[in-house]
Amino acid sequence: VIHQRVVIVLPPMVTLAPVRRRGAVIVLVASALACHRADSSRQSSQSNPPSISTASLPVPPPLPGDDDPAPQPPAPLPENVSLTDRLAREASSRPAGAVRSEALVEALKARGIAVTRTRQVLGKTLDARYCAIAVTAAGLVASVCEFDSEAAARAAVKDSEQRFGKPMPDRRFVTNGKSLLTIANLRDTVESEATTVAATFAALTAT
Amino acid sequence: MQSMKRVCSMMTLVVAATTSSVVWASSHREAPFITKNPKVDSTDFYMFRSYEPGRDGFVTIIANYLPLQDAYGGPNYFPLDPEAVYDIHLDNNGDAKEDLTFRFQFRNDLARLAVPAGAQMTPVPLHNIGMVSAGNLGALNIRESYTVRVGRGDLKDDRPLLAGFQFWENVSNARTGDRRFAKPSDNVGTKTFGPAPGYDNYAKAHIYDVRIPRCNTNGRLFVGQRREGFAVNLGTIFDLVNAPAGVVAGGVDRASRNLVPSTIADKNITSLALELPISCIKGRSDVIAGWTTAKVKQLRVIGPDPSYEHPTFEAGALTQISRLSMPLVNEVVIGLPDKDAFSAAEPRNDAQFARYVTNPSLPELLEILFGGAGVAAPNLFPRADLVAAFLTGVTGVNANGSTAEMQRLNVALPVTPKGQQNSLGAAQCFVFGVPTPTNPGCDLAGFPNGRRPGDDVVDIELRVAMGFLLSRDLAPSGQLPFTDASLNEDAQFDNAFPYLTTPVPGAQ
Repeated sequence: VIHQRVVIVLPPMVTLAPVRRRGAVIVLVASALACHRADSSRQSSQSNPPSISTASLPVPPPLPGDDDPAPQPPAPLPENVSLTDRLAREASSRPAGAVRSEALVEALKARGIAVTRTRQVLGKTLDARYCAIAVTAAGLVASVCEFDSEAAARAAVKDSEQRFGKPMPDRRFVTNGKSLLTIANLRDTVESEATTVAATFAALTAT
Repeated sequence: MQSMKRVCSMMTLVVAATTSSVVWASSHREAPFITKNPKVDSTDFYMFRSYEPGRDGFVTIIANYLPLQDAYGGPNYFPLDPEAVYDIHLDNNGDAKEDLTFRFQFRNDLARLAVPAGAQMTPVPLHNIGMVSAGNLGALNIRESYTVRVGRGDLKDDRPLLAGFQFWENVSNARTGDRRFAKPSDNVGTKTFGPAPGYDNYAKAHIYDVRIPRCNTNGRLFVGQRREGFAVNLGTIFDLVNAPAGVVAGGVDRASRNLVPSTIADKNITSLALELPISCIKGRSDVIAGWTTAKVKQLRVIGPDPSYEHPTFEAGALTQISRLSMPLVNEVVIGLPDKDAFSAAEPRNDAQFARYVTNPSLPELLEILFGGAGVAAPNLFPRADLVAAFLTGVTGVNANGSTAEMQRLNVALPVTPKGQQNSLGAAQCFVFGVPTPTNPGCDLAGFPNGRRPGDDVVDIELRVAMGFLLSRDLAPSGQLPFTDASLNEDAQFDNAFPYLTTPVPGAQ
């Protein structure tokens, strides 16, 4: 009986498509606006030439004075925190006295090397306190990771070689105090740029 | 700490860190709503020129449904939904609308087997009560069967359109003329079907030569349970990519792409397999595009007095809730807010999802996780390379003039026999995006020119997503050998229709 009643009241063809389409339009427009605002450092290769930008790097916290004792490493995060939270935590607890990615980018700009984009990346990958990458117009990747100590930075070279050396055999490493520069995507055509990046990083002093 | 370190060393397994709420298998439980409807959940779609010797004039199409079947899942096992329709659509003129649709509809009959218990015959609770073979079905309590109809023309909203008249004709058994086909029972175990090759022989008896209306050459048909053929390193991924230390990075060779067994290798799926003569399905172009969908009725009423035949009452228009063509698209490309919408969409309307391809999130997440080691996402937006791979086909290979998410197969390209197939598909045919058929290892018969069972689509798509088809200035990590360390290759499959292998038995 119940079944028969239902059959009678059913329209022959029910479609929710128009409602769904209107919703999709709203979502698309909102998403497009949000993406436009959020992705200011990644330019469309078709509409804009590459430009130098450090906009995507988080603003580092105020540094303590040079004569202050080094801050204690933050308490370890639980394993189940989100990637976003982990990145925020790393950005807010960068070690003092380390050469920073921002300094490298500024120095490269001064030497005429176009950095198309920068981004904070996960430091935990190399057991670093903080990491950021800069990508040049030629596609050279300069990753700068900051550690608690010079020894930790040096140890990270071996660690990175051990774990990533097989798929990425052609990287170059430069340590400078507590920081490690990894240059990737090396090839003949960018050799001189890579040399400049390495030398520039090596000449930087910690802030 | 240590486990997180291992996480970060897993260069290639990272994808799942972004998708921890879904099963990252080609299309298993990939969208929120489909998880409530496993019987109509499409899992993989294959389309390739048949490489069984002597069959290169045919295209094999396989649509897998009902994911993650544990072989021991009795007593009901895994029948398909008799209230649903399962479609395989083919577009042979490049307008992103189906020109041919093969529609499968199932019926599950209960034999009502009973045994004497005291003074009465009591129905048994079991799937079968004795051995079963192709010639002896007497002990089988549930008997599945199905019909296949072929429709021609635009199927929009499942109604004939004035502009594209569509109608249905039955596919029939070429030997008997029957229009209803038996679906083999799932592989209950070796006591039911006998030791190997007991089930294999039983299942093969359900491969039919079929007459397809308006075709001069017969095709072949099989529907039944198969062993899951898709390989992916899944379990560790969802444990925060907590992989063993030995499973570290870099698919530089076959061995390093084959470090861990597929997590789902002990599962079964249900295959809807067709082998169709090329002459029957090809249009003016050599490129055929295909996809599968499943539709259910819009209304389901759960009544107070269900029976085996009518557990629910279902009515209303057939409505698509599952869709699949290119692997992994709805898993790692489409964003969570739009996954259900994608499942319900038709290729002709795919412009609404374009941003997920032109501005994908996966490479950005790879960069964030492994940037410290020097991994960087491509620096190109919109990602024209991904548009070609997923939405248009590759010019000169399998582009067909449309922009829609479909699997495209150029049937004019030669077949690669088993044993000579490259598990990286056609990827080796491109050097920084430039088609280079003379490149060593080039295998144009493979994904993304259609998809064969042995194409390791996880590795291929990881590499393509990271910019394999782009120059090194645009894709700094585009030439890195990304892998999930779980290999798919042709040796894992049969050399004959339906290619996917005998399902895992419920008991040995």
